[in-house]
Amino acid sequence: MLLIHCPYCDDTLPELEFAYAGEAHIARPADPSKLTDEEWRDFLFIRSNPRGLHAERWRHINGCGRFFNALRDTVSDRFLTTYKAGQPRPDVTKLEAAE
Amino acid sequence: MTHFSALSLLKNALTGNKNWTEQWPDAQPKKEYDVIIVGAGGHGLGAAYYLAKEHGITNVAVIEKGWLGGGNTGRNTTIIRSNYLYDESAKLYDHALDLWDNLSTELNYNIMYSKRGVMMLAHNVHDVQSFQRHIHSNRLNGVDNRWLSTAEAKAFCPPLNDSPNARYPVMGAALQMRAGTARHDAVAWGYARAAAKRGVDIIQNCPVISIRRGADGSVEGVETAKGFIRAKKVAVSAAGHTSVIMQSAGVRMPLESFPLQALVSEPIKPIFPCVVMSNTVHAYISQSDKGELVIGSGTDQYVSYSQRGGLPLIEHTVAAICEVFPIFNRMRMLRKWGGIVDVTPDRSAILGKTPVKGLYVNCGWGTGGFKATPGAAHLLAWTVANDEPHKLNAPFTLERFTTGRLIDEAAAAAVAH
Amino acid sequence: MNAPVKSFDGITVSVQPPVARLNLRIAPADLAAASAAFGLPLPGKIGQGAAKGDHAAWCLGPDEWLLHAAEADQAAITAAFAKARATTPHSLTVISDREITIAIVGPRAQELLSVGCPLDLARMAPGTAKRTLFDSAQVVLIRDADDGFRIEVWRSFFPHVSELLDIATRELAAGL
Repeated sequence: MLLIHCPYCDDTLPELEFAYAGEAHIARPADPSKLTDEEWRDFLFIRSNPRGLHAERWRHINGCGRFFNALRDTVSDRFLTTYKAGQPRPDVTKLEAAE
Repeated sequence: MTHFSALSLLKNALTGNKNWTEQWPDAQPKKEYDVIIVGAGGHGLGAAYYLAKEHGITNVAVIEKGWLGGGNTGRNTTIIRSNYLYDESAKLYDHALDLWDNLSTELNYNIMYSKRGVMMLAHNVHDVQSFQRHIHSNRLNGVDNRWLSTAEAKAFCPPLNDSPNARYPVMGAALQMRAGTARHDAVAWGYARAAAKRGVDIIQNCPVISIRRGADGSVEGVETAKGFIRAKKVAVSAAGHTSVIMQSAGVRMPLESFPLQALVSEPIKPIFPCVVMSNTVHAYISQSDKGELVIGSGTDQYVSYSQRGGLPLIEHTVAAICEVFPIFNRMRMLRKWGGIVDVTPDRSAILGKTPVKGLYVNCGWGTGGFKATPGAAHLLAWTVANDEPHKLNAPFTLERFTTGRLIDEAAAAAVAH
Repeated sequence: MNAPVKSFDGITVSVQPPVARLNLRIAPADLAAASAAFGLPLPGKIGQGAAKGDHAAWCLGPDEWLLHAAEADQAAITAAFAKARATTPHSLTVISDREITIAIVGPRAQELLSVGCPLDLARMAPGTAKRTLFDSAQVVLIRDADDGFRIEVWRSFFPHVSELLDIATRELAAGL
C-alpha cells in the first residue's frame, strides 16, 4: 500500500484514506468561448501521462478532506514530495539536492 | 515450421517429441521495412498477420521492447464478449467475435476459444434497467445477449450465492452465450507463428526509443535500442506505453495509463462453468483450464507504469468475490500481477490515422483489449494498408475528442469492460 | 442501544449513550471566537484534542472541529455560536443523531481495531482523534487512553462496523 504524506495533517498515512484526482496544475481557461476546438480538447482530454515524474492531485477524503498535490514517479510509484493546493510545482533538482 | 495436424502430433509423439522445430525465428532488424508495428502483443502481431495475408504486405517488422506477448496480452483475464451498448462498439467487438470463432483453424494453432458464456450480474434496480437496455440494444444490432432471472442465473452458475439476504442480492443477469475465454498466450503465439510464416520479422527485446519524422513531417522510421529502422508507415500498438511513444512523434494523446491487476487461486477441480462479472461489486471471475480461478477487477486509481498496483484493490476484489461466491471463502490465492492499460476519456478505443502522415495508432482499449484482439488487428491492418479507416473503425478516431463525437462506453459500462 | 455489544477479558465493546455532537467549520484565524462560544480553547493542530468537564473538541481538518458536550447543553451551544455568527462567519452543524459512538476498551483494544483500521495505531497518542476508515466505512477514531478508543460511525454504517467488531472480538477471544 502507498503511504502518502498529507501536507495539511503533516502526517504520512495509508493510501486507503486518499482519493486520486488526476493530473495537477491544469487551469480551467478563463474564457472557454474564446478557445478553438483544439485548445478546448487539450484542456478537457489531453494529459501528459508521463513515464516518470508526475504532478498529480490527491484528496485526503477519509481524513482532513483537503485536496493537495504530489510529485510521484510513475515507474516506481515513489512520492518525491507533496505540497498544498495552490502552491507551484516544486523544483525537482532542489528536492534531489536536499536529500 | 511444422504444420500441426493429427498426423504430425502422432509422428512427433512416436519420436519422443524431440524433433519439434522452433515455431518462428527470433529476427534481427533489417535496415528498412514497408511497415513497422510497435508492440508485439496480440493486436500488433495480429495486424502483421492480416497485413501479410489480406493485403499482401509482407515486408513488415513487429518490434517489441520485452518478450512477445509479455505485456497486457499475457496479463489479462482472457474474457471475450461483445455486449456493448453503442452501435459502433457492438459492431466493432462483434467483428472481433466473428474472427475469434474460426481463429484456431485459420492460424493452425489451438487458441482454446471456449464459448462458455459471460454472465453479468445485476444487484440493484439500476443494474436491472441498465442491463435490459444493453440487451435490447444488442438485439437490435444482432448481438447475442439475453436476460436471466435469479433462478436461471443460479442454474447456469451453481456456485452463485442467490440468497435474497445477501449484501448484494442477485436480481437477475445478462448472459451472452457466444462470449467466453481463450488462451491468451496462445493468441500471441498463434499470430506470431502465422505472421512469421508469411515473412514478417518479429524483433524482441528491442525497445523503440522514438519515432523519427522527416522534413515534411511524415514518418521516416523508428529509433530503437538496435539502431534506426526505416519505414514509411509505422503503427503504434503499445497499450499503456502508447502515449509515451506517440509523444516522441509530437502527438499528444488523450490517454492515461493505469495498473490493472489480476490474480489466480490455487488450482482446483472444475467447479466454475462460465465467466461471471459484477460491475456493482467490482469483480469478475472464471476458471482456467489449469483449474485456477482467474479473478480481476477495475484499475488502480492512480496513473502508473509499475505493472504492480496496490494491495487494497486486491483485498476489495477478493472481498467482492467472497460476497458473491461464499463457497470460495477459504481458497488460497497463488499470485497476482498487473498490466498497464491505456484509458481514454470515453473508455472507447482509438484505432485509425493520426495527424502525422504514415503514423497509425491502435490504443485506448483500457481494461478490455484482449477480447478485441482479432478485430483490432484486422482493422489496424486494413487502415495501414489502405491509408484510411475501415467503416467499422471509422468512428474510433482521434478527432472525436475535438469534434465531441464520443462513444461513451464509460457511462454505459460504469466500470470494468 | 446501550447494552454492551460484546466483551471478554481483553476487550469490552459497548455502544455509548448519546451526546451533543457538533461539526464546526471556521477559519483558523477566528478560532478564539469559536473557543469563547464553546467555552473551551479549541486545539489548533489536526488530530489534537482538548477537554474540560463534559465539553471536548478535536481538530479534524485545517478548518474543521468535532465538538462534544452533554446532551442538555446542545441548545446553549448552538445559541452561543448563533450570537457569534454576527461578527465571525462559520458553520456549525448539529450531528448528534447522525452518528453512533462505540467504545472499545481493554488491553487488546488496539489489536481489535487493527482488524479494520489501516492506521498505524501505535503512533496515535491518547487524547487525539482522526477521521479514518474502519473497513470501508468512514469513521472518526478517538483515542482516550492507551487501552481506550471510541469510534464514531454514521448510523447507516453502524450495523456493518458493529458486526465486524463483534466477529473480530469473538475471534480474538477464541485465540484466532
